[in-house]
Amino acid sequence: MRVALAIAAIFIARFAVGAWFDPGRNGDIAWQQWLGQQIIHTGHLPLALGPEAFAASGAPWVPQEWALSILVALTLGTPQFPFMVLLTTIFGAATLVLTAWSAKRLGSSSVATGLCTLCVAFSMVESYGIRAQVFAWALLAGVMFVLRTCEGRARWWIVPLIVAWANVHASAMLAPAVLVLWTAGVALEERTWNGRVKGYALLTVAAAAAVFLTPLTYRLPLYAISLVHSPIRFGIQEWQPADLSATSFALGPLPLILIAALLGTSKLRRWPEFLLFAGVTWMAFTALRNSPICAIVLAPAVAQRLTAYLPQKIRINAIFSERPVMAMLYCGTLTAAVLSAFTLAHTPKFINSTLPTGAIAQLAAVPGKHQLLCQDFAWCSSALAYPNLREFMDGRCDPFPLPVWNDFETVSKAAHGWQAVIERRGVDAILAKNSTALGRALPHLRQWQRIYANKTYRLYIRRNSAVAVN
Amino acid sequence: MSTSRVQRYAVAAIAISVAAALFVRGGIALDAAYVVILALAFATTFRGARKCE
Repeated sequence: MRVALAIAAIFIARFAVGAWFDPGRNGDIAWQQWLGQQIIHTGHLPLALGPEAFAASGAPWVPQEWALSILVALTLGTPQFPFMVLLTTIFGAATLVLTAWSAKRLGSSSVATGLCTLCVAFSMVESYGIRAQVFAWALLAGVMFVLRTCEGRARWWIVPLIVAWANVHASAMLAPAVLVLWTAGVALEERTWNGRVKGYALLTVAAAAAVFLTPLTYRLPLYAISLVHSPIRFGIQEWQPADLSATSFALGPLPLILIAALLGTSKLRRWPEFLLFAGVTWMAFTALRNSPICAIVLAPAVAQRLTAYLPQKIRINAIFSERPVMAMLYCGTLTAAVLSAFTLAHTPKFINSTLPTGAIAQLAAVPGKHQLLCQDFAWCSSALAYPNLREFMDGRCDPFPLPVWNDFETVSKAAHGWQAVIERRGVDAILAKNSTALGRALPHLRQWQRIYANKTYRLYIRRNSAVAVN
Repeated sequence: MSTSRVQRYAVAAIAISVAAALFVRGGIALDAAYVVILALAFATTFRGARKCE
């Protein structure tokens, strides 16, 4: 546990700096701030896209990240923003601490716990930011902690954890699925419908009911299920299959999957652990965004198995019970934490905004209303702040209908027929990267003019576009 | 075939299929890697299960 906490300290510093500079790098924060302001202003959650999304106005929308959006609206750009950073960092840290604590309660040795906690930390780094997933990870770690280490009434703590999770992120639907696998595993072990199996079955039913306890009620589970086979996944990088170039996969769940495959799972919970392993390994392989989920679920069980080969009594573990060694470890990790935070906070690539907010502000300053298409839909989220801008697609992305997605793909890749799409959709402003096919094609458009350009982006508008849109 | 030889073959298969799957990115190689990993996990998890009962 001490080794794991020392490792966690380095990542906590990394998380805090990441969250602090996130608004300049994360396009989603802009639409979350806009959504939070809408909810605070109107007193209810919007259930359809409005006129701001001119190509999909009226399309059904399940604003599952409403809780985070309110927090972002209350803190972003205000003196309370450090509170938001602190809260995000606490949840990131809680994920690591709960994983390590869970491993410890399963009897894992210091080094085994430390190694598995390290894998969880690596799985989180690439996706970390002021994002609803970060809060969901901590709640998943909590659910797994209770499931593996608590018996009797204490197991029911899972239900409030799932309610909190459902109000933060739609991935809460994972919780009933985990419970179903676990209960099936227990039933396979017991081979009879006894009290233990009944207890877990009841807990599974309660877990399924818990995901309905949000202001979105039945809409949240329906939305989560629809997303599993949604055709829009092709357009989102995080939904692509894992590969070795992704640190979050190669150093996160992959080592845990390989260790679990080679060493097997605990004899005390064979079937439940095996079924969970099968489920989360499949998830990790099919989408990069599932890397942290797989690592969080597997880590404590892998640490427990690894302990058979790295028992507490061997020198590498026993050494950490000596005070001078622990003092050296904590001093070393705290120095590493401070140094890594300091280095990151002085790295221009990390701290400078990578979003084309200047280009969008320039467009908003042009009189009249404009219908903007951004080559990356996340860029358009910051356009929501300007009443005279409407977006073809923005970072909310999920509720946009498939025809809109297909047209978006055609234009953003400058594929065959892209000019016909912008005519048909009434687009009168396009923001693209200079280095892309679309960026290179824009200067050749007749009746269009450039109003903004820098090293990375260029923004073109249709001549006299201010009067073209009412 | 002895258990250790089966394990050696399984480890080789796992390494090859995982590497192939990750570089091909998806498709049938990914599915194959998943099946091999699952088979190995099953074999190691349930090895000697009957003796314990």
